[in-house]
Parts: sequence; C-alpha cells; structure tokens
Amino acid sequence: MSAAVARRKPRDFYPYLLVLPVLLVVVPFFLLPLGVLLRNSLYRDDPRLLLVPDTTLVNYVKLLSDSYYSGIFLNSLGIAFLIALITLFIAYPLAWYMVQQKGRKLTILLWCVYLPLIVSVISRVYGWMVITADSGLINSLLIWSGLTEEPIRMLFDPIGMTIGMVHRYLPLMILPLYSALNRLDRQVLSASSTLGATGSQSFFRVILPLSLPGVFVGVQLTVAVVLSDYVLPLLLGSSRFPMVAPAIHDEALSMLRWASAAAMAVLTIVAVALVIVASNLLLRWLAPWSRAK
Amino acid sequence: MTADLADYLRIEGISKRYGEVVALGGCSLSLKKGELVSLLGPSGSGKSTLLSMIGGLDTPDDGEILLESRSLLDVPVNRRQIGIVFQNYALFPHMTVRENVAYGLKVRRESRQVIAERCEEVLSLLKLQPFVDRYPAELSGGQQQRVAVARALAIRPVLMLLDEALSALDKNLREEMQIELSLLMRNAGITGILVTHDQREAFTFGDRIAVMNNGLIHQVGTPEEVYRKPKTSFVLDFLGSASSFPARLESGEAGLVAVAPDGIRCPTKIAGKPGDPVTIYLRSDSITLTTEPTRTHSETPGQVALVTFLGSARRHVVNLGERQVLADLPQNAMQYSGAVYLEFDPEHAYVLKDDAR
Repeated sequence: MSAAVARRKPRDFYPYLLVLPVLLVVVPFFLLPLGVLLRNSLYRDDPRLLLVPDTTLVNYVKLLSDSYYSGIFLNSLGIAFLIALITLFIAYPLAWYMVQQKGRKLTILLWCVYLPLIVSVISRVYGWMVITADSGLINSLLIWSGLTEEPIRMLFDPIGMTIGMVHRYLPLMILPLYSALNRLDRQVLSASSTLGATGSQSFFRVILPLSLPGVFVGVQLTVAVVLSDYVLPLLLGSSRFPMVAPAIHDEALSMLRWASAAAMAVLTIVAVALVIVASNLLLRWLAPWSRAK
Repeated sequence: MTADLADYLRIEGISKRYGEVVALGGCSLSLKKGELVSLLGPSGSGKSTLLSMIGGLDTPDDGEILLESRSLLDVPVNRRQIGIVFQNYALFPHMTVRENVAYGLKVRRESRQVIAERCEEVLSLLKLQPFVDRYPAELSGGQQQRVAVARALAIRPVLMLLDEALSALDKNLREEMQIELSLLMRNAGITGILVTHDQREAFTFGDRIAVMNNGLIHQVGTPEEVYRKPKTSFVLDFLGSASSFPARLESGEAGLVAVAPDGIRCPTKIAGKPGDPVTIYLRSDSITLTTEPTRTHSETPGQVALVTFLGSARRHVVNLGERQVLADLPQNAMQYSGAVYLEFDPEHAYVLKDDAR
C-alpha cells in the first residue's frame, strides 16, 4: 500500500484544480454566509441590544406557532404551487407543439421563450402594471365590453402578482418540458397506435408518463423561484397577502429582528429542500423506470 | 392484374411523392395467407415507406391496399390490427417486459384473464419469462428484439410487418433470429413482410422476395428465381457481386452473340438485332480462370492483381483492360497469378439490354 501511495504523482491532483475556481466563489460568498445565517437564527432578538448571542429555538417556535408567520409561509407555498400548476397547463401544449417543429420555426419559438429571460424583470413589471392597473388595458377592455362596470382590482393584489409570476416563470416550465418531450422517441408513439391505442390512450399511457421527469423538474424549479421571489410580490402584490421574501426583508430591516429574519430564511431553504426531496421521492415511485437507465 | 381470390393481401399501384421526390412509383404485390415475403432493397429504395403505408403510418397518394378484399386505407392505424416490429424496437421504456406485451391488449380493453393468458402464451413462445419484470433498458439487444416481436404477436395480428427488425443485432445473433423468426411465423401461420437490405436475411425469411429500387418493385419471386433469373440489371447486381462488360450484339453460327472488348463472347437468346448495345454480367462465382484462351475469352488476357481468402473461396481480382473482374474460385482450386483468361458457362451469364432498368 505504501508503495502505491509513494507512486502517486503530484499531477494526480490536477483534476481537483478544475474545481478550485468554483470553491473560491462558493465557499466565501455562499457557504460562509449560509453558516452565519444558521447561527443567527439561533440567536435572540432584543429591542435594545438587537442580535444577542444564544443557542435557542425560540425563533423557530414563534415562526411555526404564530399564525402571522405561518400564514406567510402558507401564502408563499400556496402561490408557488398554484403558479407551477398554471404554468404547467400553459407550457405543456406549447412544449408539445415546439417538439413537432424544426428549423427556423423552432429557432424563433425558442427565442420567444428565451427573450423574456433576457429583458430585465423590472421593465416587465412596469409593463404588467400598465396592463393590470384599474385604468389599464384589461380593465378598459372589460368595462368597454360591458362585462363589468367597476374595474376589477388586479394590481397590488394576489391576482396581478400571479399574472406577473406566471409570465416571468413560464420559460422555467417550458424548457424542461420541451427537453423531456424532445427525448421521446416518435417510433414509440407509432408503436402505440399500431398496437391499437387511440390518441388519448397514447397521451395518457405513453406521452404523459414519459414526460413526468420533465414535469417534475419544471415544478421544482418554479416552486423554488416563486418562494424566493422578492420583486414581484413587492411591486405587483399586496401587503395584505404577505409573501416570504419581502417579509424577511421587513423583518430584518424594518422591524430589526435579525434573528427572526434569519430563521425565516433558513425555514424557506428547508421548505424548498423538502419540496425537492419529496417530489423526487414521488417521481421515483411514479416512474421507477427513469432510474433503470 | 387479375383478381385472385386466394390473395390475402393485395397492394395495387401504391405511389407516393414527397415534394419533388418520388418515394414510391406504383408498387404492386400480393401475398397469400400465411406467406412470408421479404422486401429487399438498398436504403432509400422505398421499402420502408411501402411498409408504413401498409401499417397505416403513412398514406399513399394513389393506389389501393386490400386485405381479404377490403380496403385497408380507410381503416385508422389503431384499428388495422397489424403488428409492426420497428428497427429500433420502439419499446415503451416506462413499462416492464410484461407491460409492454400487455399494452396492445389493455388499450383494447380485453379482460384481465385474456390479457394474462395471451401474455403468458407469447412470453413463453419467445422465451421471455425470466425477464418479465425488467425494463427495456435492462435487456440486451436480442432480448429487446424478442419483446418487440412478442408485443406485436400479442394482439393476434392479421399481418406482421418487420422493418429492418434484425439489423441492429450482432451477426451471429442476427442469423439465429432470422431462422427463429421465420420458423415462429410459419408455425403460427402468420402472414408477414420483412423489410431488409441484407440478401441472406431476405432469403432466409421469405418464401418470396420482392426486390425494390428507386421506389419500384423490380422483381418478385422465390429466392432461387430472383437469384437465377434476374429480370433487371439492378436485381442481378444487388443479389451477388457481378462484373459487367459493355458489349454489342453480333450474329454468330447459332444465333446472337454478345461481344465485349478483349474478345469476350457470350452466346445469348436475348431478343434484339446485331449492333444493339447490351451488357454482359458475370457473377463472381460463375467465372473460372485458365491460362489458355477459351471460347468465351480469346484475345487479350487479364492480369491477376490480388488474391484474397474468403473462407469458402479464393477471390481473384483480375485487371482486364480498364475494368476489374472478380472471380471466386473454390478454396481448394488452383491459385492463379499473371496472365489469365476468363471461362464461364454462357448459361450462367446474363446479357441484358442497356435500357432494362
């Protein structure tokens, strides 16, 4: 054994050098702050002394028992899954349509999907404000057509926020679905119909199950980003329907409860992790074949 | 074409173009019940297109396909009850072997009992019982192939179509499966069409061979017929490597003789008149070599350029004028070098008019 160790050359470690740049960024700027956050969440908030070193779970107990705080988490989780569901239903047919296209048309479609990701979210938010305001495009049309007399409240309301988020996060659902459906072998669909399946049987027994991994990736991504979205709840949403990211900001900077804010942040990360782990387990159960490869 | 009551499947004048490209230029073919036919041709010859028309995956521009005298073209693909084995097998990756085989019965809403019985039957027929709970990704190529066949058989197809179904397998396994499939289909009395570009595979599987090229069926016949009596130069050339000699017809003592440069002469019964351009084709296995001029080759001798050992034969590559002639001599025969003359039995040479394509 010692001979083998002795023969190890310095260049055996060269591959690890490739990881070094990432470690240089991730360790000081991500892992370290995360550790500080975790430590702060166990501290105590004090009105005069602010952050008091301690080792207590009192912040977590408060978050889970106080209906104001648990409400924030339920709001955010509820909206996150709602957005995931809406985007899923919008994205699935589009992704299936895109899979049938090729050449220039496909390129254009893919750009239409990417483009909103390139445009700054702030400019898109102002676009949505113009459209969803009381005197905006949607309400003007509704009133003009006589469907309503009073404008429907959308802006600064969960409705407007949901519209904005659906638009913002649609690409995150389309792309994994597109790539999952694109991997699907067309011959398999031919096989399904020659074996006697109708179109809907082929969809529910072949296409849908085979696209499940893509569906799950899309849902995981969407839920994770909605939970951590700060801009849209702030600019399009309402303080009567608090979401977790702006609430953490308020807790830390307005209320100066840094320990409590840290605990909220940790809990958000845990929630995202739980969603991902749980959905992976669900996928493993629903699609055991996806691990056979 | 006369209506033959005994025809089980009749394909009449099927044609198809994709834009400017003619994929099928009017193909006709008839099969009796229980007959196995191989569609043989190079890639791009239209054989797979013809197969997908029969299977219902594509629609012809013109022509008719009749099964027991009823048109298949109006029947949607999922009602045709035609079993197709695809080249890449197209197994459902998310289903186990048993689920794959049961699929066609499930979508037909057969009872649990029927499904279980029928699955058991085809799974044991194809010796798949040890693998029933595996996913396709966990099977070897040969096993996947068996699953594809079992899945198609399970729906009790009125017709089986095999689209290059064996070409993804290794050579030994492929030859084993050719025989096994042919026997299996014969024993089950299933009518089937195999598309292949491999002559041996076509001959092993089919009672009859339909040779296709450029969207046309050139010849249909038993393996022996298409090999021994090729109707076109394409069929001749595709079924065994042949050397060709451009020639002209001349009149000889007992009829016409095709005469090529370097003194190659081949008496022929071809219909034509002296002066007509023709081509003499010689299969490599029907040429022997001598050191003396022969009746069939009398003027300039050829030069042996290379001798290769093929196992059952020694292939002599002979340079004759500007062309190369391949002559496969029995492995135990003499090995030649230097100047040689070609000798062949005119009965085994083919003289075809140049427009016979």
